[in-house]
Amino acid sequence: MIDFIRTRRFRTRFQVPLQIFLLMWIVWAINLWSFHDSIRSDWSHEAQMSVTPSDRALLDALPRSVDVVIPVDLPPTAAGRVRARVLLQALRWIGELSRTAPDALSPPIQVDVNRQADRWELLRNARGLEADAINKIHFFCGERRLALDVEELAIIREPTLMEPEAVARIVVDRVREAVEAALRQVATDQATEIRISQGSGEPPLNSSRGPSLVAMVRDLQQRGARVAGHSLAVIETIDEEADLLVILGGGVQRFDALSASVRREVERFLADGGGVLLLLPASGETGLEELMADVGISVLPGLAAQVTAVPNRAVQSSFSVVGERLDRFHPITAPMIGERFAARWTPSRVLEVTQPATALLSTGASAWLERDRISARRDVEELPGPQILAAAAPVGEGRLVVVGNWNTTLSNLWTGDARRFLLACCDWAAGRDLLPAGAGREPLSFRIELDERLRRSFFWTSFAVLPGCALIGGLLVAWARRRDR
Amino acid sequence: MRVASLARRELLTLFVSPVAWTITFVFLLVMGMTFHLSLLSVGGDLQQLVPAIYSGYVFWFMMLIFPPLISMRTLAEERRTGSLEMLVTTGIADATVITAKWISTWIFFMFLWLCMLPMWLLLDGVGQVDFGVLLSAHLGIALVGAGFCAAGILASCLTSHPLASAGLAMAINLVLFLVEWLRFLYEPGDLQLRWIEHFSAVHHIGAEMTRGIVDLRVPIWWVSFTILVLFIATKVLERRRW
Repeated sequence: MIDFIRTRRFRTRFQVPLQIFLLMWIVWAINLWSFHDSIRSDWSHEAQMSVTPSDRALLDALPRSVDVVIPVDLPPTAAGRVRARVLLQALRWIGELSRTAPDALSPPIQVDVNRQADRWELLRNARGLEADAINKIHFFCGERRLALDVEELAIIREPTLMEPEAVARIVVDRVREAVEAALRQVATDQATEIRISQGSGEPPLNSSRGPSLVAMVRDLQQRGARVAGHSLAVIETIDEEADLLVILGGGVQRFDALSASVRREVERFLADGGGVLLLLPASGETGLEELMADVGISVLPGLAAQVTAVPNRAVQSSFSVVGERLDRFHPITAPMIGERFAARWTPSRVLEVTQPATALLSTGASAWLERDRISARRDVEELPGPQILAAAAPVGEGRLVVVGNWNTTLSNLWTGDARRFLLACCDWAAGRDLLPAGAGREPLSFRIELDERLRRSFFWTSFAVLPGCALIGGLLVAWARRRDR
Repeated sequence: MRVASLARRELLTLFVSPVAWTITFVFLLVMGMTFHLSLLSVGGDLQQLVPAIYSGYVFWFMMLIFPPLISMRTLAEERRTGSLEMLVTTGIADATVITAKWISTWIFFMFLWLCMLPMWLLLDGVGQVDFGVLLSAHLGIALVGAGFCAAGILASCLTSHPLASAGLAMAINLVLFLVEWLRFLYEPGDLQLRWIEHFSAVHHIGAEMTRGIVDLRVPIWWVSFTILVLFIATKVLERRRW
């Protein structure tokens, strides 16, 4: 009997660890299988993180692996928090795409610039990023690089000086479209060649001293373009490789109207399929007026003026105008249709547009055409708003965009909707996919108004009613038990 | 069938004890406070409220503390009072006893979380709650809670002192919780990081399920972990027959 018990104990001591080991192995095998082949789904109302077959097709079509870096350093204001949410959503979306095809798209690397200064420095040196390349999504594909700003990912309603911070919110969410367009662009082997022509005596393109174009040039480079200077006043022929010619009809120094031979060269360039973005001077001519007139764009004498609110609740007339009305159907402006588009330009020429040109951007009704260039004072006979500030037209195989202002291209003014508008103009004129491609979606609002009554009722429900129910339940149980005894 | 009747008996025992109601009271008081403060901190944005409540420190404190507190008496107390011997001599299999005790513990644990449902319904009355996200968050709690409750049952099998059992269960749960901290050692894209994410309870709930993302890997890991732990608990209970 004792032998039997001993044998049984021995067998058990041998078998039980074996059984446990076997089960552990099965658990490991099942998890290993699920680690490689898993199914993910988004149960949220909007299902924004669902990877569709078209997303998979895009990832499969990427010729090389794409890396993503997102350095974040946003202020703790309400607008900063909304921007952080947009970046975080983009991070999550890229993460989801990366899970679907880890070989095509690496998991995104997020760096908190403020807390991880050393890591950011290392990453910056390794990737060749500039110190101010923060709050952007940087895509890398081999030698190519592309950056997306928060403004390209979403239209954000930012509070004005007189509004409470809580009004900051996402008006249009374009994260998916922007990421898709960026992946498509960064993976293509074709880089856009951009030439910028300035007047004489202007600082070089990469100069960071004083008023220069460095911010615009960097932005264009980060979007995958190769940018170089090209003075039309000196060299009258346009580079064969160029896709887009940006002509700054103004400058810190002197700008002389371009010669007739330059005009003919620009016409040839447009006829061959090139793109031209012409930024008009505040006064004087560019020498390309005839060319513009041929496609239905003419520049009116005078400047746009508008009544502007100033912080002490007063108003004043000035040459600072806000372009707020966009063409609903043009590829440049259609994705920007949303709440409160406001591109402020100081000053701006006014355009007159006829077919086949399209008025891209106009002021509101409160603006007028001020013929007196010295002071903005509205007279009865002056042309009332809306005034056209930018227009576009196809010219032969090419595309021409005319903008009534040039100084937005300077680094200190290169911000907000004006920057976004000009970048879209560059993309369209160069014949590139617009970034972002789609119109986005209006996110559903799950926000409730926390008024005093709701706060109070919620406070009592969470602090007293529900715990009180549990307390009453416990007391009833205790009473019942005592009674049964 | 025996499992169901045993589990029912266990649940009945739980609900007629003042301990269960005290636990419920404390749980609702703490979570109610968290709920209220989170609602104020997100400025009434119900989309952000789910991750704010279900992935904060208070949430994880409750997740780590409550399953051991509920399960600590299940077997340790029975062993200490000798009622366990009576139970197993009735011919009920050890696996049945373990499963029934785990089911009752897990149901009570989920009952605690479902007690917060009236608050969500109240919010839905004045706004719109994303019930898909809420459902996935609760699925996450159910899965992670199943694993934590199983660890509590195993700890309860290993010792006859309820407090020692609770301490041991908390230690096991803490290990599962702290797996997340290993992620700081690796860079995105590293295989090790992907494995850490595979096992990390914090990642499953905080980064995925409170955002509405449901990955098949999560139920597979937690269900398999629960089965493994319950199997080990059964073998520990069987040990006295060897």
